Amino acid sequence: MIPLVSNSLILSAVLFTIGVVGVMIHRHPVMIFMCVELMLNAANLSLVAFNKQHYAENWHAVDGQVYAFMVIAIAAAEVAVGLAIIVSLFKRRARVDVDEVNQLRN
Amino acid sequence: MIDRDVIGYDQIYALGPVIILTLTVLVLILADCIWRAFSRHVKPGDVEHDDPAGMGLMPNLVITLIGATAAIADIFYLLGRLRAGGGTALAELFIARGFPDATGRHAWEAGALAIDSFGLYVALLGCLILIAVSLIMLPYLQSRRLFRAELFQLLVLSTIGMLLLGFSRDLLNTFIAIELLSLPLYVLCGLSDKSSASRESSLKYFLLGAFASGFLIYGASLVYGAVGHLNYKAIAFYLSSNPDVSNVLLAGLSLVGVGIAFKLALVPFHAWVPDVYQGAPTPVTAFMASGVKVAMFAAAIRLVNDSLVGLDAQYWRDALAVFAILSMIIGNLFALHQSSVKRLLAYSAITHTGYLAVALCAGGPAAAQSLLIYLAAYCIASIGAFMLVAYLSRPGQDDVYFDELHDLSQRYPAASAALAILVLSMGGLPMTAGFIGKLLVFRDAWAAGLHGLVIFAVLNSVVSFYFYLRFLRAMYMQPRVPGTAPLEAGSMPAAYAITAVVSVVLTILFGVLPQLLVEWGNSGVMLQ
Repeated sequence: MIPLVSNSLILSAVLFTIGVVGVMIHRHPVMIFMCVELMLNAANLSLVAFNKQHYAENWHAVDGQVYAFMVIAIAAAEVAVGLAIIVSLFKRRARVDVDEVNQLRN
Repeated sequence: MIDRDVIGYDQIYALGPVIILTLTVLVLILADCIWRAFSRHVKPGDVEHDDPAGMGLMPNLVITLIGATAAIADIFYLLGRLRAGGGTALAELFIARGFPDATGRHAWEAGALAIDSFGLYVALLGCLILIAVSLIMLPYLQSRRLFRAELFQLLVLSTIGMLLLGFSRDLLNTFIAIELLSLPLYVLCGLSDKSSASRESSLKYFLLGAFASGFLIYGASLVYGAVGHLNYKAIAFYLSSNPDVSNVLLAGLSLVGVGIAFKLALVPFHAWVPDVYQGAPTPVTAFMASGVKVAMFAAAIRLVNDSLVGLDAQYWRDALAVFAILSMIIGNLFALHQSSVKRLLAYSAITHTGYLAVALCAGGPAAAQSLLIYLAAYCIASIGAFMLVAYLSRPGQDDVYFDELHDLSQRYPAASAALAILVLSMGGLPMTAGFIGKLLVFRDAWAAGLHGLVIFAVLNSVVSFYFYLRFLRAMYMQPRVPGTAPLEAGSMPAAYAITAVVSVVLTILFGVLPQLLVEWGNSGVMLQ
């Protein structure tokens, strides 16, 4: 494995872990959402790196890189929907904190 | 390198139902633009004031129903062609192949989408659910004075995601279809923006759904790293040709499993279900409880049957069995003492996920057919039950509590009897459709040697009768609780009445003549 690929894979694993931990410890929906984006981008990085690893000599095989574009498009759609939902919640109350969104539990 | 056909142009007709529904969405968007541009009184955003009866929704409903009916007609046409052709699949789209060996034979060859009769039956269920939910949406919106024209576009888009999930045999395709299924639903949950419960349910569903898709795609990237492809057949070939399973592949498959388990609502990934089901507008809850379950279980059984078969069962079956057992226990325990009907049905949905996961543990083509039958019976019952909740609930409340159900049987005898039959079918009472589904699922798991799991599931389904019988007690025997006003639902709108009659008749018909449902399900063969 060439060092660039293995380093990218380690970086993507670190990014994914930061994302998962961040989702669990953050209280603000926008921060949680940014951590989810971090998870998706970790997946993108590892898709591209694995593509390079599998097809190092073949420049025509770009599956993994195309997959990464698909994931970017999906992430963009998710941003559009997610930010709209968070803003509509924000319009009703000045502070948004997932711990305070608990009407249904009570 | 992997040799591939980019697309089989001569087979694109097999995607007919998906194309028809996509066109329906486009027509709906155009019709909405035209309606807003040419109607003089109505400006976008203030439909409520000039349209007291909500008639502006009628064109959208009619277009949706026409689109869904055309898609169903196309599904029957495709099923006819499939039967005439004699094979198990009508077409495979986006075919990829592994390396050819010395004799020129490919190690594996499979399409990213398989149009087989299993997928077409899932598509059929999806279109029927779309019709039922759009029908009950109209009176619901009229009684709440919530005129959101865009919701039909979102419903149809979500249904397209369901159809693609039923056909999908490739992890990337599955990921995209799950997102197409979920993104419109996040918005639909927040449909009634006047109610804070609805906004809360939307936020929770969105955050947890996005979290789950992060797991799913990172897991898929690890699978890609190990296998070099995301096609299920490629994964199966890799598993069968490499006896030592690589840790990267195992980690990837388990992350994919976590992502799918979130969407299936298997315990311990179920925390969002009660809040989201209770807070969402009731017809949307009906859509989630039926449609999402059908589509996600179709995707899960394809993953199990197509790719995990090569993997030693100890790696996945035990874990899945633990999740199934936990789902049954937690779902049952929490359902016992709920005061809200919608929350109780949400916990009962978690229990049903547990029973269905028993069939996933069994795996194999027979389990796929039993899953279809179980899901059909469960969809009929849950759409009917949530529709009755939508009918009975007070406009400002969007939920029914057990205390409010007293002497419902005297004031609304037909609605009470229908609700009683539907919840008993969910419980699996003999002579109802739910019993047939449970029987077949447990039979398959028993045949697969999962005796302990089946005994446990049967015991749980006996326990679950306790809370299903609470409906009967509340409606027929409960004395009046001081301080609760009786429900005033008025006369039943025609759309509700049609859905109620159809769901009750089908529940009893399939219960008394199970061969109808069983023959249907058994012809839903999955391409291997």
